[in-house]
Amino acid sequence: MLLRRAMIRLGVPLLWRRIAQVQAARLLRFGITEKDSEWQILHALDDVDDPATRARVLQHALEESHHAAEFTRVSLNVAERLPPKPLPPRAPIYETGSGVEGLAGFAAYANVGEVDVFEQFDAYAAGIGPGEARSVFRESKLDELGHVGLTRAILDELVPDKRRADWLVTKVRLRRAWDVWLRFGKTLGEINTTLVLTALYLLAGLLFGWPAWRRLVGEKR
Amino acid sequence: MSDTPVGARPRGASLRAIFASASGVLGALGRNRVGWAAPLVAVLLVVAILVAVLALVPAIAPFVYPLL
Amino acid sequence: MDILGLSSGELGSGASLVRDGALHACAREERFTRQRLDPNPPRFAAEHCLRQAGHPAAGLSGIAVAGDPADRFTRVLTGTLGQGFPLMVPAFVRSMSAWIGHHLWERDSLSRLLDVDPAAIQYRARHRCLSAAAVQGSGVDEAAILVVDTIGEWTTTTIARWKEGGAPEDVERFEYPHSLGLLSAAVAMLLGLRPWEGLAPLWDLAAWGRPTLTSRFRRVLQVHEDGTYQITPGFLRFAELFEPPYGDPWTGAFTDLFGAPRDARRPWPFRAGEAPAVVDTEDQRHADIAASLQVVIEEAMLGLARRAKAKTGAAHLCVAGALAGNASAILRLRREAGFASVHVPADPTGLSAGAALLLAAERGAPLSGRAPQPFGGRAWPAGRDLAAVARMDPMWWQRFRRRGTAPVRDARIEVTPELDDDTLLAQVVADLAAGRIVGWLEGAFESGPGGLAHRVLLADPRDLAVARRLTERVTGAAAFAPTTLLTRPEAVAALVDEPAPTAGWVPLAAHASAAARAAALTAVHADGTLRYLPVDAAVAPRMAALLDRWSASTGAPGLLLADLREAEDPLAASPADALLIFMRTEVDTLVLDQGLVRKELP
Repeated sequence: MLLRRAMIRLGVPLLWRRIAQVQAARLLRFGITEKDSEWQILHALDDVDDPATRARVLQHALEESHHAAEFTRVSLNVAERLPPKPLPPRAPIYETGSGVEGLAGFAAYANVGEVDVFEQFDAYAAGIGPGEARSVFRESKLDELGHVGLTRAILDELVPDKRRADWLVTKVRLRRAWDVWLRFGKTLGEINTTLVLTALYLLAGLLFGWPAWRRLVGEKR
Repeated sequence: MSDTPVGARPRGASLRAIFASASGVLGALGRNRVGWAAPLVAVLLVVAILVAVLALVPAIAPFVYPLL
Repeated sequence: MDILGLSSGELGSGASLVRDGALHACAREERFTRQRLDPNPPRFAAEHCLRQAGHPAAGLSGIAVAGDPADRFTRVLTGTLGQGFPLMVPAFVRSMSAWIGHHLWERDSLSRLLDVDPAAIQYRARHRCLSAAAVQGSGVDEAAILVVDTIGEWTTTTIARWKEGGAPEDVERFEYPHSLGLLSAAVAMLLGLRPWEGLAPLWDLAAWGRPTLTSRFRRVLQVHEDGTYQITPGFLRFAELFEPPYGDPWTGAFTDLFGAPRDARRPWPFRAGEAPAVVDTEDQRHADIAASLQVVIEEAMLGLARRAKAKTGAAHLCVAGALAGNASAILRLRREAGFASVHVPADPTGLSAGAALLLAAERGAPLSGRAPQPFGGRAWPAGRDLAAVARMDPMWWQRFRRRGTAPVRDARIEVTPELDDDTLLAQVVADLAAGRIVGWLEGAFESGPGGLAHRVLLADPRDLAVARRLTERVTGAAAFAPTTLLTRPEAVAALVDEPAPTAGWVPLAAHASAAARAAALTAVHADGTLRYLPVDAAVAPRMAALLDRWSASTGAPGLLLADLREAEDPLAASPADALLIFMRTEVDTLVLDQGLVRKELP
């Protein structure tokens, strides 16, 4: 986490303030991440009937929904061209029908996730210059801090044994460490893939560009 | 009207499915009048299979992550 | 005999269940994942269909998937190599990464997803699926079919013929790169819109422009007298649109004709129902581009329809594909193509339904033009959300409201969990007459792309201020887009100046009468057409009853209709989705089945 914070603080002034398209894409990705949080909450809520819990969790979903809308709104205001809008497949943290145990695992995951998001928003709010985006980071980070407390309270209600609840949180932290390794690998993998496929394209284009073009223009209609 | 159930996924289904997909692509080359692309498709399929095998090794898996 | 149909791709993925030849369940993945036009494999939509079937996937009689990946792969390879070498490096890398990693192995991934034998998964060509979907709800037993789309495997446009009982037979196919849908997507991007979501706004924008650039578009899209068409090489590189994030699909020759891409941040000066004030030259030129494209697209579609008539001799026409959503073009076909009727199905891009219907027809369940299932989605109980909202304090909603909406911190929230229809409809009519915006959620959600009667927003069509509030403070839709008038079939004749259909599954267009202009300001588009949707009491009895009461009480011919959704989100699915819209926006009254939630501002 400290490493990521340092990277944000170093990288943001270099890239963020110079390239509007990078800024827009990053903001929209935050919007998409917040939308995923809202979706994860609503997906888990499908298995909750208690009105009081539903009311609390709906309020949480409303806040994530607002963050998503705000990040999306500011992302559309910074660059001339629309930022790319990735639509990753939804991977539910809570699998429908997995009961109290599943909900406890979800609450632990959400708790750790909220801490991470708070740290990231805090680093961005400190690193970027003044403007609409900074306001959104600042406002959102405060809400995320509230969500840390809320998700822990729900976890404690679902798992009264504090040691077990802490263990669930630790398990999530270990899983997220593996996710960081995957992300690191992804970055290197993307570079490898790009290099291999670029070489292949240049070779294949020289050999097959002409027949491919003939195939396309040969279609009179 | 056939009403036979499609049945559950059998063991070893992945290999058969991957083979069926690969041979389907080779068949599609002729059907779509792009037979000239056969060598390129063969290279791409080899790369794809290599990636799939590498992904089975946990230490390497993250590095082929973008393709999975 | 239960057959599951699946589809995925740029126009959104989905799943459908056909039981004994009739559509039993049908849902788009976006409704479950809350990502508009979600292109990923339809996991949740398939789960819904299997829940409706009452058995696991292994008990299905067949699984049909729209779009053969092997054929698509050959097109992607040819498209990226054959257009713009060596500039297409990023497009090739994006496409091949996705194909090597995912798309090529779709049979295996779907088999894992459903836990079925991969050999049981059968692929059907996308346009054959769209042809099968096209006839649903047509009410005829023989028709010509015209599929005008973005891209299938290689096919972009299909003319087919169909007779009740059999599967549609292809008569003629047009292949990539000659695509009217991809051309429209490229122009949408040029005008600062997203390629697929931007198609509908692009066509709405056309009415605000003048067709001053048609001769330039005719250089790009050649429409021949025999009804065929061709995209001229050298202007467009559609392979940039094969895999996101999309690159610019045009060449320098195209921007020489139409100028640089529009700044996406720039607001449009046009507002539905209002004459534009001062319009900047650049805005007008961009609207003119949309208008000019619309003219040539209409010419091409009209040529194709006439060709379909000549080749099939059919009396009726069914249209499907992405361009079937272009209401102005459909109106032109209705007026000029020479068919007795022109039908657009409830879901013109309903690939999953088409795939399942096609496989069922091949296995002996006759394909018919009977009424489709317009509400094939999932239904949720509303009671628990009504109980939850009764415990919430709007003071806590205030910070999380949509920007620019009225404050609610001191609002009173009235929740009535159960009302009989008589009382509920009376309250809704009173609220609408008082200028309130009503959200309406009932039973299962719509199968098609938009809200018809189960997930809708309603307002008084005579009140321009409420229509603006609906657009600006609820849906976030483009201000230039017309709203639709939800009406009863018997009211249609007085609202239009020409023979017009009194039944339909998607919003229809016809030239507005003086009465319509007076009664439904924002549903009358800048081109003088009224956008309307007739509600059949047999299909949506509660909505029909509401409209009857509304007309009897106020004399207005219908209600303004919009999708129950906010901004970039898809149509609401669950009551929780609807409540979030209620909390965030200026929806004043929300109907959740028999329950009612009202916001009373001080």
